[in-house]
Amino acid sequence: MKISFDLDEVLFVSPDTYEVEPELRFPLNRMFPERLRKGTVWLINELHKRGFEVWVYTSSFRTEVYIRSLFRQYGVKFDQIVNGYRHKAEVQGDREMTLPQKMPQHYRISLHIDDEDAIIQNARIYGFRAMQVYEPDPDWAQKIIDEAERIRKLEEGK
Amino acid sequence: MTDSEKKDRIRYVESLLTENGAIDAKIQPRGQGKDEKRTIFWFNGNYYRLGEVTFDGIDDPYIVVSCTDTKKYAEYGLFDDVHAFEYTLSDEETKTEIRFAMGIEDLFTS
Repeated sequence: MKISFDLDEVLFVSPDTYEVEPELRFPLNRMFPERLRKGTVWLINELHKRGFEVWVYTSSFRTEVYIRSLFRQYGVKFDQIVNGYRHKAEVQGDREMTLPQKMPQHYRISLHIDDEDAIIQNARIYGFRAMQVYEPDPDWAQKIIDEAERIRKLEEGK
Repeated sequence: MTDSEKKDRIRYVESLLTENGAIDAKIQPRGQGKDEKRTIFWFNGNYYRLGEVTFDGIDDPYIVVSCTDTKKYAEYGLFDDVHAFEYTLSDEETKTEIRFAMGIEDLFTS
C-alpha cells in the first residue's frame, strides 16, 4: 500500500512553532535549511518496516535530487518522489483544464498526508483518501500509522 | 591549505569517484571555459561534479559534491549541492563521505 506525504508544513516545519528533529551538522544545515518535524525519521522508517511504500508528493519545484539528498542526511529514504515538475508532466500533461495540484489516485496512492484544506476537500471531490496534519501534535506520527493500518485493512478486505 | 594543495585534494577525491564506479560523462557544461576543467562524472543514473563551497563567517572552504539526475541540466551546469566535507579529513573519512554522497553507503545503520 502506498502512502504519500506533502513536504511544506507537514514534514518541513518551522522550529518556532513545532518540535523538530536535531539540526544537521554544519555545513549541511546551511545546504539543507529545512527542518523536519520531530518524529518524521521514526515515522517513515516505521512505515517501511510495516511494509508500506512511502512517497513524497509535493507541489514544490525542489528537485528530486535535492529532496532525496536532504532526507538521506537523516537516514530516511522514499520509494518515489513526485514534485511539481513530475506532477506537471505526468498528471497535468497536455490537458487544457487545470487539474488540482495533487492527484494521488493517479499514482494509486492509498493515503496522502497534507496540511491544506483544499487538498482535503479535493479528496472528497476526486475520490482519494487524505489525512490532514496542520498543528503541533505529539501524537501526529502514531495517528498516521493508525490511519494507514486502518486503510490497509479496508483495502485487504475488498 | 594552498590553492595547489586544494586542487590536488579535489583530484584525489575525483579518483575516489572513479574508484567507486563513476565514469567521466564527457560533458563540458555550456558557459564553462575550456581552461576551467571540472570533470562531470556519471554513476548509477546521476551526474556528479566536485567543487568548493565557502560559507559566510567561516574561513575554511569545504569540498562540495554536486549532483543532477538530468543530462540536460548537467550540460547547462545546473546541479544541486548534495554533500560537503572538509578538505582536511583523512583519506578513510573522505572515502566514507564520497561513498555516502554516491548513494553506495548510508551514514546510518538501521
